Amino acid sequence: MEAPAGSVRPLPDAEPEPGPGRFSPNLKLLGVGGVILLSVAYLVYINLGATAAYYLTVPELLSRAGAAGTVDRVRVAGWVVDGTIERSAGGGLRFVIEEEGARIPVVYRGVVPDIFAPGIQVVVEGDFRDGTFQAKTLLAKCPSRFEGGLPSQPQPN
Amino acid sequence: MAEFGRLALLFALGLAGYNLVAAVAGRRWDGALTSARNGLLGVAVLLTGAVAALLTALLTHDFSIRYVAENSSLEMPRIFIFTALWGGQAGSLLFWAWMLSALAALAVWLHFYAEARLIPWVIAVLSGIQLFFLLVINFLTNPFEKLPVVLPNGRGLNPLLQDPGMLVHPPLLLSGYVSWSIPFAFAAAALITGRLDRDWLQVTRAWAMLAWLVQGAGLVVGGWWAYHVLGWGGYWGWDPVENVALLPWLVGTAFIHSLMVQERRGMLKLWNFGLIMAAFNLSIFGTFVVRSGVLTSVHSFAQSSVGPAFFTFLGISLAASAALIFYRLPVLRTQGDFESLLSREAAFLLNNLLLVGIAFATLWGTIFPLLSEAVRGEKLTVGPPFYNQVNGPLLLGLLLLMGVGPLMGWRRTRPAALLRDLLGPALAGLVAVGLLFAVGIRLTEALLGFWAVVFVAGTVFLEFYRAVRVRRRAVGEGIIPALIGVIGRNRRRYGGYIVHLGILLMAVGVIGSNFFKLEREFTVRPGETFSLGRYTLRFERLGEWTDPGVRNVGALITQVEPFERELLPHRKFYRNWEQTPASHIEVVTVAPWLEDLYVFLTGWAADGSATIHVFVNPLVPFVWLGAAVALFGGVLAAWPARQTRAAPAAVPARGVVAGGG
Repeated sequence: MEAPAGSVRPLPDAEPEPGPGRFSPNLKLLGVGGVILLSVAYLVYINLGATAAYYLTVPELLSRAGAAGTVDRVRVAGWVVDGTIERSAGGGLRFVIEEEGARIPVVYRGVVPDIFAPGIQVVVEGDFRDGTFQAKTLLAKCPSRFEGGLPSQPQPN
Repeated sequence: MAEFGRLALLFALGLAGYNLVAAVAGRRWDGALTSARNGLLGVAVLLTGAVAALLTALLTHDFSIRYVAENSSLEMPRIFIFTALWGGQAGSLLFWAWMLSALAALAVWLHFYAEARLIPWVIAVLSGIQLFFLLVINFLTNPFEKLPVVLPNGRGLNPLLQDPGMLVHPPLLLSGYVSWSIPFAFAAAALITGRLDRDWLQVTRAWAMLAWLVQGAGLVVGGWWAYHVLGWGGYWGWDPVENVALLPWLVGTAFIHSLMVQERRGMLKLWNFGLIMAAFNLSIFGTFVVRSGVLTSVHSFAQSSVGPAFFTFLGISLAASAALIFYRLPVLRTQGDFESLLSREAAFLLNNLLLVGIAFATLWGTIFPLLSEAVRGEKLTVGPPFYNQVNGPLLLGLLLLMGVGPLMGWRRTRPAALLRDLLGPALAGLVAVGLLFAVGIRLTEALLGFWAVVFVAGTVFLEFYRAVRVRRRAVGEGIIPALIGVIGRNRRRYGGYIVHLGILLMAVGVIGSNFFKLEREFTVRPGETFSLGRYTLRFERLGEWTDPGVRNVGALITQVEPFERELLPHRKFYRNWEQTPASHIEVVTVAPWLEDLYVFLTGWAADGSATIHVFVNPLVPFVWLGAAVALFGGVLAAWPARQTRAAPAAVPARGVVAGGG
């Protein structure tokens, strides 16, 4: 049970008319609340504009890039092609991703996810410049983090 | 076992349908109501049987059952067999239904007589939810589905899930989702019957606190698991699956604050109903997102057939919630006005707007790919920068309110008194900022954040200090007994302040690790040294060894500076999961600087060189410490009061509403 909340502070009941009183408290609260809601809307709007990235498949990216071969701020999912992963001594990473037969090379420098390996699906985000994807982030989609299909054929028993 | 489990699920489905009908009939007929209550218990017993059957099948390696073969193997350590229970879709939904049946039976048992008018509808609503889950489990994703052949061995659980964190994180998170059903059922019953007095609020508060605690704990353990297992050096990544788990918790946090306004002033009734309905619907939404694969997530659950079913249920549940609120709209209109902007109820309302604002922004970002595709035909996504930049300022505002709010009185506060109270904490914050500036911290956001933390801590301290001083004068106790006495006399209030202290500690960790993290990847040959920040490490050599079912590759590293110590980050290759090795990450908390040295083995080459990712994560231990403190405070605040007359308080004893039937 809640004890009287004001028990440890001076009770304010001596003041019948609080504040300047030009606006009703409800109206003032509405104003402050409105400011909060508008700030939320503003923050969402501004940051969507500043951070949202297109999410495309590899073929979509290639068709959007067209002849210029450039699309900025874009996110692409694809499968890491076997045998294309190269690590340079400086920690850089190059590989090729593929989807529906279309392929693009990716260069990346940064945190490589735990499960990065040939054949897994990755999502890269960054800029597509002159036919090469310069990734700023690299996410691995574990194809079966929670669910696994069984090996296609049971081992002979 | 499979037959037993399958039958138990079918019977549970039938019984849930019966309970729904009997409960509605039970409004006028005691016999039917009692039978529905017992039926609810029956569903709990049957589902306990089904869970036991699945667990037995897992433990006895019955690979004739698809779920067992897909989620466990002979080599799996026995302890992780338990995680297989909720590691797959069918199992996790069974766990959902089981937890719901247990909580429903418990809630109805506890409140059967005291809330007699509400109970028929509570049982009906809970049975309706059970009915949906049991339909899905029975006909769409049955955990007892047989395989055409008996396999010699199973595939095993994904190695990332074979971790102690997975023993507690999913069940807590799932239970958290489930728990919002109980307050929802009581709120719905109150709306249907029109009994909108304080009774439903009391019951709902208790269960909302439980849900809040359980889900909060689930979120924290999830962060802990990600930090120690995934290797990206963080504990929260704003991934869709994390976001949707945060949503009901945020809305629930708003509810457990704003319900106090209704208790005290009889205001915000409509708002409170809206919040609790939203929390439940967001729980269903969360389960839907996790299970449907509709959003691209690192968690990437398998695409499955349960998506449309969940979507339909979500639609029905949303429509019903809205219809109920609309139906009672005339009665829910606010009685009483806000008397001043400087009042506690106003502070609570603003806190609510911020919490709901954060939830809204997070939801918007999470479903933005779907929205943009629907509206513009192009899929747009947002990542962590969006959430950090939107929610950062809002969280700072919330933090400031956390400091100002408790110092305000109900109805109105004298501005002069409030300012006098705020002066000390504000100055303390400035002193702290000065000290931080002196040691070389210049980042405005971080300084602002630390100022807010110290300021709020000061106001909380003031609350405790005054209460203890009053009590010491009155009773003549020492400081510690007086403190315990103060907390014990009003656990709800002071427990809440302890939660606030925990949140402040977490904020310290979040600010530190967000703004001052160091990270770098090194590719090194044996004998080479490399350094990051104040740490110097030497890579000795690669090593390989095997455990049952696991091949390990590790890098032996000596930390040279500032202390000498050996580190062995390694990767674990489980049989059948060679493509997705798990990791052992070395996370060393370095006491004098309160930071984590986080060493992760990224890769290696045939020439014996290794690629090692090193993070220095300042203040991260505060996140875990703060979470523990918040949890403790939450339990303190939520623990039901004993029904004694020990307190000679002015609160009139509320007579138990005679049930009558």
